[in-house]
Amino acid sequence: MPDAETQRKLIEILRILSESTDEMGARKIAEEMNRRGYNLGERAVRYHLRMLDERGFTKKHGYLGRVLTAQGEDELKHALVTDRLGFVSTRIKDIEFMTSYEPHTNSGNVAVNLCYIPKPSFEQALGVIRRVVDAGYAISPRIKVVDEGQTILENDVPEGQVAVATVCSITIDGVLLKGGLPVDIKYGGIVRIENGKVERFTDIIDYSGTSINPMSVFTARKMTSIIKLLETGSGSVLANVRAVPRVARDRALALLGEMKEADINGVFSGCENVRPLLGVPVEMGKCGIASYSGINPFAALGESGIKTRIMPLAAVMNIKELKKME
Amino acid sequence: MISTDEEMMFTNARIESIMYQVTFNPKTREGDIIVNLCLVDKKDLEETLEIFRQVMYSGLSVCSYVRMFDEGETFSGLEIPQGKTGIATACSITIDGVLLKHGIPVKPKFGGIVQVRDRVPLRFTDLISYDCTTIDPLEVLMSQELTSVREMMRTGSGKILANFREVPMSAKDDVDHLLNRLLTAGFYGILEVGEPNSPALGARVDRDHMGIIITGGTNPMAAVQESGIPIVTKAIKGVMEFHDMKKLV
Repeated sequence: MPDAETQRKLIEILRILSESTDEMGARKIAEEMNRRGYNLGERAVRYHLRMLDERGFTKKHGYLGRVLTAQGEDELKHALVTDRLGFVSTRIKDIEFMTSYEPHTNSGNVAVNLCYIPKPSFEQALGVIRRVVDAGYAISPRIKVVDEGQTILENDVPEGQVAVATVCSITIDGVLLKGGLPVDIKYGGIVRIENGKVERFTDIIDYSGTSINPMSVFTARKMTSIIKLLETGSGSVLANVRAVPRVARDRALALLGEMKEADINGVFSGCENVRPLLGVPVEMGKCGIASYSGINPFAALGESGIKTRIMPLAAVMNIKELKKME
Repeated sequence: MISTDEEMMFTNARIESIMYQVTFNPKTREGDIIVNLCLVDKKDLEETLEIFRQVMYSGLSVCSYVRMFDEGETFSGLEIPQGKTGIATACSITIDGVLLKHGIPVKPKFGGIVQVRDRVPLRFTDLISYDCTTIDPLEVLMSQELTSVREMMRTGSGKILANFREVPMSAKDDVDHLLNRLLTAGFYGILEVGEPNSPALGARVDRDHMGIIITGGTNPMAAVQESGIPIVTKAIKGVMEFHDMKKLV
């Protein structure tokens, strides 16, 4: 094992290679390393690349270019766990930044979640998704359906599968951010609903303290009971909480109002002057905004016995590409 | 039932509350330890215990002692339902409790998954901090199908549950001494003791601290789950007199 400093540089090089679509030479890698705050010359990069080659993480490709091997991908996924601790919140920040949705014109890019559904179950799945959306436990009635063989967000939809994209709740954070508010997404959690009324959060995970997306944790642990909620009015759904400064409350409320007009829903507690918020701690001087998660329709599919593959926070997509369910 | 306006408790608060209740003395092997509890169908009990034995034999638990609860019996506010058997295993936080009671300021930080290759622990691949979650990480990660405890037993390589705590490096001698004593008392689950100011299994430590990694007391349960037997696990369920437990292996 090389020392921690070298290890970090090696991983950064793997990251650069994994983010690039083509092979990369030492000079381009060195430029990128410098941009990221690592002072490494071309020669030093070559030395590090040899170390990576020896371990089978990279291989030569073309004239002095390098690409990542499958083993290198794997290494990147597992290495430097402490660094990856903030991965989920960094990913959220990236997506937030990439959104450009404007509620008053209903245009621009929204954040989306993606789910792959086996084709034979698709009709049933669509019915379940519609019920969850109609009951108000999702963000938007707009979805995008992509059939097998076609591509969505640069991914090929595998044979026998259909991909569905829904609006992700991070769209709300994006709108607040682009509206000039320092918004801080804090927790993903499970909220309990009794007779149609939100009761309280029963479990939460802080986005900054996990290397795994809390939403995946809750769905894999089968902690939701959305189908039961639809049938009886009581059950548990996925939700998240962000905080904004209390001085920005009026602006936040105005933006939330605009979003509602544009059919971006799901907020069940917007900037109320309460601490804690339904059991969730909120910092002094801030107020919390709690919304349902865009994953709820997909979690309900799992509950109905449909085998799915869910990718929360998949990417951003133009709102025009998503069509309102009839 | 908790009222709507009560703030929820994060796992680190729960851990510190229960660490405080540990009275186990490794020298006399008396006193209270912390246990995890799991529930299985009675018909699956023999198979479950067989898997428990294998996991404990491979050293992937905290110690090899268990206590069984029959249907109708109650432990720590939980009544064992009809048709089920409860099994309590030692929780790794017991070791934190023992260190604490010997005056060592120990700080449990997170639970996670440790990748093992050829019987050598390599690194943490995933983790959840105790002060960032209201559900126990080892309970959560168990359900993620991220573990491969059975593969680890078969081939020597796989992914197991473990947790991480920090102690000040000035306490190194006392810690070594106590961990040895715990080992003699049958608590063999110590996976790695890191060097001061150096990452332990890839996880960073605070300045002038060192990391200690202990295998999760829920690994036997994870192995049972991997084999497809329905099992419900409650990590860090309560404290129990060590004398009331029996050696399984």
